[in-house]
This record gives sequence, structure tokens and C-alpha cells, in this order.
Amino acid sequence: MTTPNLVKMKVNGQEVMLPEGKNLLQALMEDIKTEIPHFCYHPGIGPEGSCRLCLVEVTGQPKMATSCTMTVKEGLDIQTQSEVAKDARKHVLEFFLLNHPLDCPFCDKGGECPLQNYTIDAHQTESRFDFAKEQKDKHKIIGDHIILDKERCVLCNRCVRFGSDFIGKEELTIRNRGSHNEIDVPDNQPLTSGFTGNYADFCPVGALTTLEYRFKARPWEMRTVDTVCGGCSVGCNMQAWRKEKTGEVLRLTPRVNHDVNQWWLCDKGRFSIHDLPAEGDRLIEPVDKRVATDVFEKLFETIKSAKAPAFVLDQSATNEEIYITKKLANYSNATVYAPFSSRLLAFRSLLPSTSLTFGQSFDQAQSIAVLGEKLESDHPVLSLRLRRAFHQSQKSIFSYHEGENEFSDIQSVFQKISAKDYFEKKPNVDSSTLFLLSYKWVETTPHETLVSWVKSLPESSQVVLLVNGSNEVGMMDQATNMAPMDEMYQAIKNQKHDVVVLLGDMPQELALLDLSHVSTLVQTVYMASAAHPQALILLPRAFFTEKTGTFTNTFGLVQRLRRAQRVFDRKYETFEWMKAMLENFGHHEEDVTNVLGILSQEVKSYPKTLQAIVESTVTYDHYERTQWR
Amino acid sequence: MAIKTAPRPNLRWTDYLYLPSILKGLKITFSYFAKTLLRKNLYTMEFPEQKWMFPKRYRGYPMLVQGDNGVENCVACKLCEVVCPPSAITIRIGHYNNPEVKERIPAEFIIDMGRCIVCGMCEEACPCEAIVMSNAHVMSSGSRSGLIFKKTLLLDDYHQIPTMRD
Repeated sequence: MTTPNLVKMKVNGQEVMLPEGKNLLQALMEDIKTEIPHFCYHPGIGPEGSCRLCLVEVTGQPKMATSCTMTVKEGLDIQTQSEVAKDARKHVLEFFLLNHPLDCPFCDKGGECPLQNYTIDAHQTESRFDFAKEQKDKHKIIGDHIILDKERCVLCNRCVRFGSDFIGKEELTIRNRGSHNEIDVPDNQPLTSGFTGNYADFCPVGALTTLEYRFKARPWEMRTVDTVCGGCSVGCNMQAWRKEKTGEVLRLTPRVNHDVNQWWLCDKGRFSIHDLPAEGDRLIEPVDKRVATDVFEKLFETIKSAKAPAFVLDQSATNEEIYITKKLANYSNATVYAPFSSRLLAFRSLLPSTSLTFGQSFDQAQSIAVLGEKLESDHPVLSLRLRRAFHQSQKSIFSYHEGENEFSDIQSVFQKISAKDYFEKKPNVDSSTLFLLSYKWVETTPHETLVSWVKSLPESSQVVLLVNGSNEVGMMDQATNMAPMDEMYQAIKNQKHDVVVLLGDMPQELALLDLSHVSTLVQTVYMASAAHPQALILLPRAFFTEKTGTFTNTFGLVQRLRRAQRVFDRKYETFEWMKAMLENFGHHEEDVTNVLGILSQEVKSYPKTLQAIVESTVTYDHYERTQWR
Repeated sequence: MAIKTAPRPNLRWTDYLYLPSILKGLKITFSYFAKTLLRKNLYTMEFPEQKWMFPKRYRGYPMLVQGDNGVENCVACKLCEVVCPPSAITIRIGHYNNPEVKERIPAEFIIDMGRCIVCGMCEEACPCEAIVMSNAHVMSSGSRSGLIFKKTLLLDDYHQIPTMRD
């Protein structure tokens, strides 16, 4: 990545060095921390210059200029806090407030609303508007998650531009004229894209809010916890908002990370927390169908006396859980099965190591080729990045898979093609291409074909493997002494294991198999009713917002999960009971105490295996929490 | 600073007896006793049955206000909850069944009168004039839970006492 060229310019009479070519508003906000009000500009969506709120005085220009539509250049002399500039912004703000309803007490945005903040900052406490305010539709449900309040809208156009630039369809439009100007869904078509939650994030007022969070709490009642989504392998950075009084997580919002999710989240990940069973239905204590008490003692005895126990991890296991499971398996002569594919593991070793982050390699590539999957359904957030890259930096987009074309709205190359045909034909792409290769194609293609394909690629091209599970890469990194799932099905068919401990989802293939020879089946479940009929011991299961640990995402980034809520007692957490069991087995070595230490300590306290992973990957929470939302 | 010694009064032997002073005091006491006995100029009252009249602007315990449409004015904005110094107020937000009339009401509005310090900050914070200080000044209950007032009780004018101007 090229380092930006710093140039000298004047802000409020002071000389500052700012990166040339950068958006002036963003440079002022980020580099010299000057607060400038703005509505239509959003760092992700870009400038429009329609709200006129970011006006600054430019020496040598007779009129005020919008800072969001200017770029940093040598010798520019601007005044942001002069009387003229402040006065101009104050009067622009007054026009915004003409028809804005006084909804703040019961508006979901109240307390975190830019308009509210700017109004207070400008001391705009009285209205000079003597006429009746414009009346508009106040509660129109326009999708599964979003409710629209037309009166509150300030017509910043962010949602319209997000639709056209990122989703490929203007899901919301502005219609009518003058003071009747309002935002609405065309033809009353509800929002269907998988990214509707973002509207509520970047809407600067309470016009677009989510139904899930509606009237749940006020911002000052909540604390944010920085965590990572466990929905897919991208591992979007997010903030979990926990209500302090009740301890429940009410919403998930994105956290900016330019190498992962930028400013966005998909609805699947964002609203996943609302799909969980209600707290009353959750299993919060371990249940043994034979004895009433001392479940873990019984479990310890069972594992200790078992001939061939098996631990089955699922995709949501953190790196720390994998580590400790392997340790425990070591003592109890158990086999650990994890949902990673040996084909993917073999393919991953083919890829050359790179020092670039995903964001950097994406920016460097001239064209992007998606191989083998519809991004929108498997790794949704990446499809936003691709469409934006086309609109903003004119990258060419190629996609090859057997589904429908998701980029039909932009100029892109699409071919309905199977993996076999693709690797035979090897369609021509630019020399500097970033390939986003789906796990689906890797798993169905012979290894030799893939080897020859990787060799045939030009040197400047890069391949990013998109895996399925949220911590599948972490499993591949720790794959020694673990067996993939296919071997487990075979072992179950051969009646190898007498004790099976399922740490997470029950794989569908396993549910179909005959488990009558398994004497003890242990399962972690959200609800007791969801357990397998043969499960003897049920343990409570934690959702990703209830876990502490790390996930390694599909780009190899080790990211930290922080516990946002606690539904059941700490000693029932997988990591904790395993640690207790290890101590029962007589394991008192330092590495396990260090594994416990990771909860509070930094990367250096990791056990050696994990430390190596962390050091070999690029970053660890190095993005500051920013105020962009 | 110079020390100034106050001169001691010259007391006679009758003064050292203290008896004339005691009798002088008792004369006042017994005169009031006689007046009360004859029901002239009462200085105490039969408290729970009789109540003191307060001026209208007297600041007593808080109460909720019912609007003209029959719904409480409160929109559950939670500003009083956050501003309340002893955290006596608890609000749970709820949806009103007719959004055309009102979208949001408090599903639960609880004031723990045992904690309330009658400071009036809730009234000051309220953007909807939904919580006001009544002139109720007597709070007594046999149990702590009896001092936890729910919404229906707070809306009721149970503790409205006739004021001087009424």
C-alpha cells in the first residue's frame, strides 16, 4: 500500500500536514480531530454534498464550500470555527429542524443521534417556525427488520446511495418535492436484501430503526462489548450492546475493520442473537438423565473409564476450546473430531504466504474473481465490498459458479459453470486478480487439478480461500492430532466409540446414523428439547456472544471474542469444566493456566501453539473503536 | 487579640433558689393547658384524621399525570430514571395498542417511595409533563414492599390532599 503524501495546508490559521487526496471532511475529523457536523457524508458510502451541514470557509473563495466534497490539497486555507462558518452551519441546521418532529423522548435514536448533538452544540433551542409542521407517515413497517418514520427523515440520501452502490437496487427512494419530500420504498416493495440492518446504523436520525431493538432500551442504559460475529467465516467485527440492568444483549452493531467487514454487517449475523431461544427456555444447568447431582463427576468417571471416547467439535469452537479439548483428549486417550476438511487443509498449504491483509490485497488487485459460490448467501458482507469496488475504483468483477448471477446490476462477467469445467477451461482473467475461491469447489475438485491451477496463475494474482465454518481456519491451524468429520462417520459405523461428547451442533449425518452402541452420548444444547433422544448427559451451550476466546477468520486474522452476556454459570462453560477435568486428570502444567490467562491477558500469554498462530497472522484488534456508525 | 472578661451578674439569694423562674415557666405551661382544655387556640391536631393544609406549590412525593385522552402522558423516555439520584424509579418500555394515539407507554412504572428523596429532579427532567410532584407528604407502610408504588397507584390521585387554595 502506498503511503499517503502529506501536504501542508492551513486549518483555522494553523499549519497542518494532511494526506493529499483524502476527503477533506474525513481528514479533518480523523487526522486533526475537528468535529464538523455532517449528514449526507459517510466514510463508507461517500460524499454527496446535499445536506450542506459541513460548510467551511475557504480563503479565496467568495462562498462557503462543503468540506465533504473537497479533497486535501497543498496550500488550502480553511476556517472551520470562524463566526461565518459557525453561523452558516447553524442556519442550515435550523432548516433541518423546521419539520423535524419533537420525538426525541421516544425515538430509538434519542441519546445517540447526530441531529440531537448538533442541535445542542449549536444552542439551537428555540424554533422560529410558526406554522404547523408537515405531517407524514410515522410508523411504516418496510421489511422484516426495519420500520420507517418519514417525519424524522433529514433526506441525507445515505440509504438510497447504499442501495444503489452496495446492494445493487435502490430499495428506498426519495419522492415528491419541497417540504413534501419524503423517503419511501418504491411500489411498497418491502426491503428484501440481506443487509437491511445497516440502514438503521447509518441513518443519522431515527427515520430507519430496527423492529428488533424498537423500544427496548435507551443508549445510556447499555454498555458495548467489542466482539466478533460467529455467523460465517468472515468474522465481522461487532459491538454487542448489553443492557446493564438485565444483562441481556439487545443488539449487535458493526465495528469498523477495513480488513474484514468495513462498516457493514449482514442481517444473518446481526439478528442471529434474536433467533436464540428465549432465556427461560434455555438449558442453564447440566442434566444427567440417570443421576440428579454431580453431573461433571459422573462425566469425568465416564470419560476416564471409557475405552474409546470421542470429542466432536463444531464450527463455533474457539481456538482456546480446541486447544483444551486436545489436551483433555490426550489424557483420556480420546479422538478429537473437528469439522475441517482435509482437502481444504491440503489446498491451504499450496497458497503462498502473504504479508498483506485482506483489505490491502483487495485494494491492490485490478480485478476480483469469485469462484464457486454466490457471495450473498455464503459470505454476505463480501458482496458489498465487491459491488462498491466496482462503483468506486472501477475494478472488474468476475464470478463463476452454478447459481444465479448476483452482480447482474453492474458490468461484470458471469458464467454459469461447474468446478470441473472451470479448472479445465481456465477462463482468462487479468494478471492482477484476487481470486475468492469457495470451499465448495475445493472440496469437489481433485487435488492435482488444484495444484496445476495454482501453478498456472500469474505471480501478481492472489488466492483467498473462503471456508465455511466460523473458526474452520483455526481448526486447520491446530489440525495436528485432530481428525476430520468424515473419519468420525466411519468410526461410528464401525462402532469404534463407546462415549461420544458433542461440543456444539449435532452434525446432520451423525443424527441419521445408528448410535445404539454408544453407551454415553453427551451433548451441548441450547434447549433440552432440541437434544438427541439418546443423549444421556446434556450440557448448556454458549452462543458466540457468551464466549471468550479467539476465532481465526477465513483471511487468517485471529480476532478476539469477548463475553457480552452470561446465561448460565461460569463453571458450566466448556472451557471451564474441561479445565477442572484436566486438573482431575493431574494436569498442572503452565500452559493450561496460561490458557486461562488469555481471558484477561494479551497475546503473549497464549500457549505456544496459539502464539505461533497469532504471530504468523497479521493483526489483533488493532483498530480503534471509531465513532462512525 | 486581647481577652475580654465578661462580668458575672450579681445574683441575690432568691435567684440562687431557682424557684421563682420555675414557677414563672410553669405559669405559661399551665395557661396553655387550660386553654386546650377549654378548646381555645389549639396548637396540635388529631393527625391521621385531620390533615394539615399545604400551599399548592408544596413539593411532595411524585405522581404520574393522566392525559386528556385517558392515557398517561408518560412516553417511557427514561430520563427521570437516569436522573433520579437514589435510583428510585424503574421503567419498562411498552407499546401502546393504538399507535395512532400514542406509540410508546411505560409497561411498568415503579417508584420505590422508600428510596425517593423528594428532590423533584424527575419532574424537572420530564419532557412530557408526565411526572409531577404532588403534595403528598406522608408515606408510611408496614413493610418495605408496601412503599413500592406501581403505575396504577401513581396515576391514581390517592394522595391528593386538599390544598389551601382549593
